[in-house]
Amino acid sequence: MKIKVFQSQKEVLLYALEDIKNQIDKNFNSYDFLMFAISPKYPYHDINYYIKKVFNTEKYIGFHTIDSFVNDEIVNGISTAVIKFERKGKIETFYLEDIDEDDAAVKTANYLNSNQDKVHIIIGGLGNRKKFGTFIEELSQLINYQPVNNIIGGLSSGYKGVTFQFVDSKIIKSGFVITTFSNVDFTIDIALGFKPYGITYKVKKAEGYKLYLVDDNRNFSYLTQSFMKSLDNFDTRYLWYIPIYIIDDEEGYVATLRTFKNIEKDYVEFFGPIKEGQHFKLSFATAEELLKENLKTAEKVRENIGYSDIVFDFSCIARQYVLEDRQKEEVEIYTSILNSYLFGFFTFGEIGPDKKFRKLKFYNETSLLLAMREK
Amino acid sequence: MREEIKIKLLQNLLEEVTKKYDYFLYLKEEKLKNTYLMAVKDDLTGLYNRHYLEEYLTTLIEKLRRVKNYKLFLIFIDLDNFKPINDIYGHSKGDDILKKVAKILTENFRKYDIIARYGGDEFIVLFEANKNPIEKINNVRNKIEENFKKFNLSFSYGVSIFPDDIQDINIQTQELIETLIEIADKRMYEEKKKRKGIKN
Repeated sequence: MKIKVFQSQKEVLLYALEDIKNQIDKNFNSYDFLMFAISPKYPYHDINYYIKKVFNTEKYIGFHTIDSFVNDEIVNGISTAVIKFERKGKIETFYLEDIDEDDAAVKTANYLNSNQDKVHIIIGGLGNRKKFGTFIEELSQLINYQPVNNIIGGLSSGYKGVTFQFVDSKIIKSGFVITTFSNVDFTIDIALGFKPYGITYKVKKAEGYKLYLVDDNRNFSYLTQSFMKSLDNFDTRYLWYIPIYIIDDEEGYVATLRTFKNIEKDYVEFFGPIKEGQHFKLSFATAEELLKENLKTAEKVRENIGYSDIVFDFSCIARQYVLEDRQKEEVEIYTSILNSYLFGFFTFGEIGPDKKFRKLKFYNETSLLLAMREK
Repeated sequence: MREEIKIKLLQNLLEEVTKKYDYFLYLKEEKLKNTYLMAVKDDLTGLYNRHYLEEYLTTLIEKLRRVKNYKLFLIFIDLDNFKPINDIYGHSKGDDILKKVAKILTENFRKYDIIARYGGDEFIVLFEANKNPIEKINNVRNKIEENFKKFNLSFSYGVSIFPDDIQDINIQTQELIETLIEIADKRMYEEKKKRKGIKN
């Protein structure tokens, strides 16, 4: 498989796409598939039109991301992975426009259950009535094979909660797209790095992504507000340094963290589901600790696969925030250890297996790695 | 970058962790206290239970064996005419009266005397002193009789004394305790018979 990644940060959508096309033409006579990670700064309703106009192909998927990864660079523009199979490799796509549909989870599970020997990259939106994290939990119950080690992905990111996927001339807001690779060897791993601190809290009242009460009916919003004390010009993102660390879910590949999204009077909203009865601690990490985990993860992936044609990195936007000016080091570690092309993006939540590969999980503040090569 | 923010966040987090830890310790202490009280107190009257009385007596006897010229008066109290209250007015009324009797006992003995509910309407008071507390016991009896005149309630009692009533104070503690209780019980029974005889 020949894969290369390209990027353009030109401010005009058409120019950026043409810039990428020129780079591709210098490296490829033909290709089988294109994956576009696109900044939400470009007009989303023009994206499908211009991709088809510039590249003259239907064989692509695109998705929003605030920033993307191209090898060891962070790109605020458009990044493209170009895939050309050299042996038996194949790509197909499966998408649903609305996860609120009654049979959305069943349809998706049927697709995954009938393609167990392939690797699936799932990229979703935030959801509408049903949140994507909740959908993943439902889907997980319907997957009928084991090990579930072939499904990974993330939620595309955007400004003010607006994020789309682009496939088959469609703009998907409340659904997802799966890119399925056949005849490939692959391995995955997940990096965390946060450590739990203090005494355990018990979730007393929660609904979806919202946490209302803990312990003896203590308002979690008040508690969260106490973390914001003496912080001038408070920004919710400051709380991304201290995600909650759910401790009774031992099946996680790594601990399940939940990132703060919004603080209201009566509740705190997170970037993933919270369940009544769950126990959690507060947590914290430095950039150093996160990067150490990245290194460990990259080494494990290399040990498992040896060489790879491409590495995908789905890294939480909150994790990137905590990495501050050392964001680039994450991809530098991955590319140098794995010695491969890298394509990835900033996510609003990550999808990966649990530790025993029995089900799918929805993570926050992780970096999820997929290394792949054609059989 | 954002070093000040992180320091403040960590300070706030530490404050919350400390608060939560303090609260956790407080809850644990309360739980221990409640567990202890549940283990040593009688649910109905709030007096010590039989189990605690025996445990306390064991320690006390060990102590008194080493102290000369000091006595323990074990007062065995058994209510008179309590059964008819239960039969006529029901158990709820009976329970209410037991609670009130317990209150009178608590208020009229010294704070450091150990008062226990030994059985249904039986109580034991451990009275450490040099002088026999007969006068005090009679006063308590008068108060109970006054309070429950309507029910004709009173009590009979018997007192055993350590070391006076024990021939060999070096016998096993458990045996010694049983002997003290038996003597007091027997004396209470004799008094009860005598009082009934007088009344009849």
